[in-house]
Amino acid sequence: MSTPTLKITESKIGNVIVLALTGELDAKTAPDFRTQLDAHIAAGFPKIVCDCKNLTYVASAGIGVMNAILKSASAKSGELKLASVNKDIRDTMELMYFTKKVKIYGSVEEAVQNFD
Amino acid sequence: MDITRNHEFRLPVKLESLFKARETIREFLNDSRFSIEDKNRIVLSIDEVLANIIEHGSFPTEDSLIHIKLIIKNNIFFAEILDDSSLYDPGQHKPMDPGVFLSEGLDGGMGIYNFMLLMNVHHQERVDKKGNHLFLSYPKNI
Repeated sequence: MSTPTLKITESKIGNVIVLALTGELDAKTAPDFRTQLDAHIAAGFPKIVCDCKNLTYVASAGIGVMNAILKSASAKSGELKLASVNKDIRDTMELMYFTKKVKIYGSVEEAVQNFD
Repeated sequence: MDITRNHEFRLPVKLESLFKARETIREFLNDSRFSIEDKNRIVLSIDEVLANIIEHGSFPTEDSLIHIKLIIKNNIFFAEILDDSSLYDPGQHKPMDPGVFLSEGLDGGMGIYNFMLLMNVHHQERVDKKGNHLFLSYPKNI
């Protein structure tokens, strides 16, 4: 049987953590994603960009993680921003009104530049 | 022309199964006349239903299987989902308010909202009294 996959590749631009997501973010893969995000915030890096160029699916569980991280990052004067979100992912986020809350940019570079 | 297509499959009650379910549904929808957006919403809805069953269901054994029937008839998508969990009707559960979800920074609770928003949902007890039989259709209100 196929297994769910979400590959997360980390990099850093200045004090901004960039997580490149490849694969599908669902109820199975969301907890590991959450763990990784929590670890960066706990380590003092609350400014995070998720590069969604190769993210092919997101369920409510994945959006829930992003929603919760927005709150915890904000409490540490940081923020979670998204870059390169495709049409299907954006449609799912719009169903949940998440696009009214999260900032989405055309590229990682643009997202990083828009941190204070 | 009235063209009916159908496909049935079974899944273990494990979150690892969701990926296989989505792949199977995408393949089933591949040659249909639904738009890409519709296909994405159908996959999302069934994925959310299955995740809800797997995460919150109470099953008699670890080897329980979820039985899924997919049908397309007259450009309407139908799904029937049968499980052997304790009785649970998602229609009786008040969906999360998206405003509350966003303002409180919650990390879950929107799965039922999504599939109730996108699909017609009807629940009944299985005729053999051994679990749930969920009927779903898309688009909503047809």
